[in-house]
Amino acid sequence: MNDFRIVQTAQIADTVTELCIKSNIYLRRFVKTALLRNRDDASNTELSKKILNILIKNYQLAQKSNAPLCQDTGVVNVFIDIGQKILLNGITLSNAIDRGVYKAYKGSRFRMSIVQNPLLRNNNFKNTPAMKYINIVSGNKIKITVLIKGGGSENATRLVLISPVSTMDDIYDTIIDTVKKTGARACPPYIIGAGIGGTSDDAILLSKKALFSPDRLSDFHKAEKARYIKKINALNIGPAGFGGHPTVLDIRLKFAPTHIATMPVGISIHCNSVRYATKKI
Amino acid sequence: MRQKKYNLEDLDTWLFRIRAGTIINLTGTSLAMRDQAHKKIIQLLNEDKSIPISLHNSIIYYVGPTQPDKKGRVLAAGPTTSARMENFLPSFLNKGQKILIGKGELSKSSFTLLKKYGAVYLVPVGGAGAYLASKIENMTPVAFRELGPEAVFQVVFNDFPVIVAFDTMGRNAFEIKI
Repeated sequence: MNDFRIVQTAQIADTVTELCIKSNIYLRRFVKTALLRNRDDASNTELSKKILNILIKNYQLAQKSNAPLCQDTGVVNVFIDIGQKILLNGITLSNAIDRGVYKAYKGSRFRMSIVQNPLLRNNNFKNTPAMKYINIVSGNKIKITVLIKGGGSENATRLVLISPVSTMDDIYDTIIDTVKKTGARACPPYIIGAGIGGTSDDAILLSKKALFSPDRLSDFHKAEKARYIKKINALNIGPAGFGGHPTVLDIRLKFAPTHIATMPVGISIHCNSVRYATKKI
Repeated sequence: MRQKKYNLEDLDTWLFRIRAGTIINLTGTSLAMRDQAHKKIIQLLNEDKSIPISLHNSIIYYVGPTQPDKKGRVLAAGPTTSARMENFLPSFLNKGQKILIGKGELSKSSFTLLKKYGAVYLVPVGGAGAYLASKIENMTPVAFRELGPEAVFQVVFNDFPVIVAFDTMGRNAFEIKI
């Protein structure tokens, strides 16, 4: 009984604030590496290299001046795993998360991008509610991941319920088709998340989670994925849509059990800013 | 990067000369607005009411910036997706819009319309919000302030880099990829 602990929801709020700021400002290292590599690749087009150079100057400026990478500081998605030996004290968890978001967005002069009523379109100037995904897990730790998702990315989301005898090739073909339809409207180069299985709503959620916690792939499936990344890059959409490479930096997959008659495929197209940050408390 | 600099105050002198697939730098004043402001303006025009801005020879940047400070400086101001404004394009071009600034491809019919009106489509790099904001002196709301980031703003550019996506000769940089 002595490893139970009490956590103040105010501490969760502060952690959410910290993660909102971090994820909006600091670009992940693997993306920096990929941008630099493609900019310095002699086989790339001149225009594409200039565009990549602007993206590189962007992340350098963002971290130097505490500016968000992108003006669409988006909707905050909070994934929180709470150990079942934790007792929460203070304001409700949901309110604490929203307060944390508001503090980050107000204090850092990010954009208030949420309208309270989708038909009235009245901005609530709070950038809340956060999308909250709360899981009770074993242990006495809390793990919080904040994922920032902008409108361009959101508008490119796709759900397809394909035949239950479909193969991985069929799934990749659906992904390629989605990228073709999106073109450059969601800020390439992209990182694609795909959720396969579950129920239809779950497939979309899996496609978001795939970004920061993809399933491990066997060497065979890694090679297969590499072939499809090549195929998508051969579409020649390129950075900002003017050709060259890359069009896509990675494809991340997540699988889940599903009904015998279904194969839901959720596809999320993320911009290269890949804004997420995690902390354990 | 040595790009040609263009002043928005005398766009008539250079609009026909810029070429798709090149990067140019813009200096001067423009408007900024997105979906909701376009919709409100169209509604006012349909009701024969006066609109709060002039569309003659207008330049419109499709953007919703992060919160401006007291001096109108913003931390990030990159483009939003132009395709969402396509339905409004015929009316706005008809009223004299000459330049659209945004990101992503447009439909074939929009490109045909742009060519007809001698208007151009310029694309700043999507996702480079912080860098692009550093090339903006200030952004001041001039209409529909209640819309917050979706208000109509006046934007002052200083060497703001854009890719010429569609020029007055009908060349489309989303299709001719060198």
